[in-house]
Amino acid sequence: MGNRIGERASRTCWDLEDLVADYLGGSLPRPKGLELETHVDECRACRAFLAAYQRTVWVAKRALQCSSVPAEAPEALVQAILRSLYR
Amino acid sequence: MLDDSAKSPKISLLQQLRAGDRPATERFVRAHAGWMLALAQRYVKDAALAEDCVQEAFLQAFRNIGGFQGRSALKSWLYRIVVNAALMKLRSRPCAIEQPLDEQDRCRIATSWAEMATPDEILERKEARELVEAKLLELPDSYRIVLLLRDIEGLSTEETARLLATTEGAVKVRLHRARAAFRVLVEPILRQYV
Repeated sequence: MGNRIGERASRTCWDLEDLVADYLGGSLPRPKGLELETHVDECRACRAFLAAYQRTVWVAKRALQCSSVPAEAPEALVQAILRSLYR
Repeated sequence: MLDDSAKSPKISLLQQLRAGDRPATERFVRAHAGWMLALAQRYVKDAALAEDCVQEAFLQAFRNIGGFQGRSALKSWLYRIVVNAALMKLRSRPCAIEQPLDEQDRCRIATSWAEMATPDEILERKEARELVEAKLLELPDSYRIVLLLRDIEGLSTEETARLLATTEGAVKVRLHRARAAFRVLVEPILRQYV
């Protein structure tokens, strides 16, 4: 079922899903990277998938890297640390 | 907060710490213990365990402070030490049975997520960030750790695999699933603010 082009596109969609982290990180072998890049240009579903994937990474980084200054450590912990350092 | 970025104060602080100057040591501990505790807790979740990690991290730092070359800032150096202490702590725990997530359809991150407007303003709100951080702690350890190491610490797949004593393939699979699971947890929160 499906023509040859459809089968090829489907396999590449799954390839992208499996290799997405490497693809975005630029660590795929060049031919594979180019193949996926070409596919993404032609496949709306994969473009949307990539956007969603990058959004997740962005949210995690934005939320966790911009955390407010943590409260001071409990005094008991500070004293325990100092005692262990002075032993 | 101790400023160790300027050349003269950094040299002076290091000399004081190496010499075992007690007031300097206490100032140093007080300056860094808070953020180290918050960082450790992201990894180990449990507050008491996080305190152990911080204590061990300071012990290790002072054991090795003679060899600190100053190629990075003291804070960056401490950061690595406390992350490693947290990972060691996790490795030494008996393996907890992690609550499995329903992974049906989770790996392919829903595209509607990308269409949702998430202006920077939402994540500038302390309340939103705290909610997101709380969701991070709901992830199974194996997912949370790989997400922290790869996406927050920016380690490579190879470095992450080495730290976790696993294969690069396992790291990639875990990261992919972690991101999908994280999205599922976080999306409802962010939608409240849209």
